[in-house]
Amino acid sequence: MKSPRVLLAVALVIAGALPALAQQKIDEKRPAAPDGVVEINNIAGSVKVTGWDRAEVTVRGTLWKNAERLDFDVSGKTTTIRVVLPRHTRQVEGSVLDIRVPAGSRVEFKTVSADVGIDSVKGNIEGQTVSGEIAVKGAGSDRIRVSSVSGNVDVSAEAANVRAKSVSGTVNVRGAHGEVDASSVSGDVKIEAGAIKDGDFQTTSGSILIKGALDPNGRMEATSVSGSVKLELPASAAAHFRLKSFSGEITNEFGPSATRDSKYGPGKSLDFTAGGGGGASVRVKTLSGSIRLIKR
Amino acid sequence: MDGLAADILESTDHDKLDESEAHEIERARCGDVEAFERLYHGHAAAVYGLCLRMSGSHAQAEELTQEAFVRAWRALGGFRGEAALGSWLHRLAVNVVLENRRSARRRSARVVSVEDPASLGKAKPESPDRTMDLERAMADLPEGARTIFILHDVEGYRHEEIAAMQGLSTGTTKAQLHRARRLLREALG
Amino acid sequence: MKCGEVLSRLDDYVDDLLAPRERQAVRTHLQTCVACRTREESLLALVKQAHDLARPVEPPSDLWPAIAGRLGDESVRRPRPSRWRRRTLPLRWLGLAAAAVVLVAGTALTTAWLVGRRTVDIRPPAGADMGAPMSASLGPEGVRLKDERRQLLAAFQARKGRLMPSTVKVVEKNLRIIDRSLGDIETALRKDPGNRDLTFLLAGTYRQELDLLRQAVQLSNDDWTGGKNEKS
Repeated sequence: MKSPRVLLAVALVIAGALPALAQQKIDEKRPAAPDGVVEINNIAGSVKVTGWDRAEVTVRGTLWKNAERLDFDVSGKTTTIRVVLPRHTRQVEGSVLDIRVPAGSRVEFKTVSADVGIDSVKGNIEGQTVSGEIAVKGAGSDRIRVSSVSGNVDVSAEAANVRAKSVSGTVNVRGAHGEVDASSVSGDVKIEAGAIKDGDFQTTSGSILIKGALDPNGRMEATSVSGSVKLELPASAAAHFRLKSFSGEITNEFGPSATRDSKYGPGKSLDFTAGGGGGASVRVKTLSGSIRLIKR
Repeated sequence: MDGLAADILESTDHDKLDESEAHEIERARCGDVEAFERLYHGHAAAVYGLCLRMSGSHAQAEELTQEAFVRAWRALGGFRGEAALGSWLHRLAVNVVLENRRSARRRSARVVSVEDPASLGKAKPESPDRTMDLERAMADLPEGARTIFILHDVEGYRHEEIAAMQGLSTGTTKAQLHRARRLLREALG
Repeated sequence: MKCGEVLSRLDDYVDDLLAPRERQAVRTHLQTCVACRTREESLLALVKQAHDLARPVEPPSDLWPAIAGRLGDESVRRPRPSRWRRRTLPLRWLGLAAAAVVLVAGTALTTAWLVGRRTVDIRPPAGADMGAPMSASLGPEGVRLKDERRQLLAAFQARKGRLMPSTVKVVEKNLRIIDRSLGDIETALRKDPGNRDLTFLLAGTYRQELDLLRQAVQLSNDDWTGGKNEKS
């Protein structure tokens, strides 16, 4: 969704066909440390960050005509890129920022409605939006911490430590291989389990989907109040499952059925081992959401 | 102190209360949570007593009381002071109880006797034993009859009001009241 | 009027609902019929006794914290200050705003408790019973938790005017969702008190709410976002 917009903006910049009034072209560069910090602030529009192998930060794009200026400063190892707006702005429109950073940089971003796309950055990535979508494609960052209020969050990165949150948007995490903390209040959480060692997935009313093979040493915990939790695992999946729901249904294609916890209470639980065991441990708890264990 | 004097005293206190309460109401309407808290403390016992009588269990009464005050907070914007806040809250609480009942799937619990001196707010009944008998007998009434009896004879609502609250006709409410009283009379001997 | 007719009208007579002519007829009968008069007296006694039942009863536990927690999900309320209030209101909100800044910074203790997700050990106190307040289920940490929640809610209420309406809408909608869920969990806990899984769910859901509130308060403290001027 973002790409066409950015492409268009870049195309316009290259063509230089814009009348002076409409927008301000941006085409700047600064030298930067290969492992420095790049801080990006842009309220609206879009932010695209791509890592490359030069010790240089470049910013291309278009600045909203009513923006005061683009701040682009380097101080020591920190590069700051910020779209500065006039004090009393009535209607803000977007600035499109296409940023290249040294691949080893740490990136920190903050936007309101601007979508953020980050690719090929190896340093830690941290940031938040209010309604902007966040898409991180990784290259082995150590730590990724991103959150949005209503935007969707998509992290496709081989990171060791991922924290992805949204309040009402969906949260997708793929490829993570260490700790993952993914949560949404009312949006859905989708996890590709792959190589996760320690996963904590939580929603209040959204659904949780966990799919893929499980790491033999993986520990995962999925909690929802009223959302459903679905686990789509290969038939050969090996893990110890502990599934509990207070009033939701539990269905299991891997073997035993859930049983009532007590004669008097409504709760159901299912505690069993599939595929000969191994180290994986999966715990699921819901209040009223259903829990389904499905063979892929 | 006899009933009449107590009633007069009560109403005097209420006048003073109304004045300062109007200020609290105004603040609460503008979003002042702490003002609402003071209002809550002033009326919690009245609302809780009602919810307890109508639901028959402390657990439900707690839930219902909470729900009533949460709803009161939301509805406060529309409260113009045409009635005393206490009456307004009272009616709101009755509606909460009735609505809750429509969706409740639980069986009614035994009526918990409110004959606990520590919990009595105002006048003590003349003969404790008879009151307990009455409450026990009330608990055994069929739900419709019990509701009408509580709303009309205990809480003092008129048939028109009760009918409106429950979507019934006054003919029905009167018939249910007559039946409730008859059943109670038979049970109490 | 015969006894049968009088008896069938007795309830309405006692409630003063009869038309004047019928009322008179009943009264005349009662003057001479002992049986019907006895019935009338016992009916009056019943009604009087019922009326005496309408007494206030103090809730066994303080319900205010639970109520306060749920107040945050009310729809946007436009302040209607009356004249004398204009002087006092801004000062109060200023106090809350200052508190909000302190709060966002200084919740280390509770955060530490909350952050350690799997290391959280919430032991329900012995004898947690039916209808016990939720803070009892979560122990002393729960009390602090609910306090922080109440304060954050108040701070959010006070400062949400600084946020974009669309943001406020999302935050409040999700606060409502969380609060409804909290209510559902608490209801379940009443059916099965001491249930550790439910307590765990409860704590986790409170954590989400606090996260959300902190985020909202922090957003409202931000200077650079330009507040409501954004075209979303």
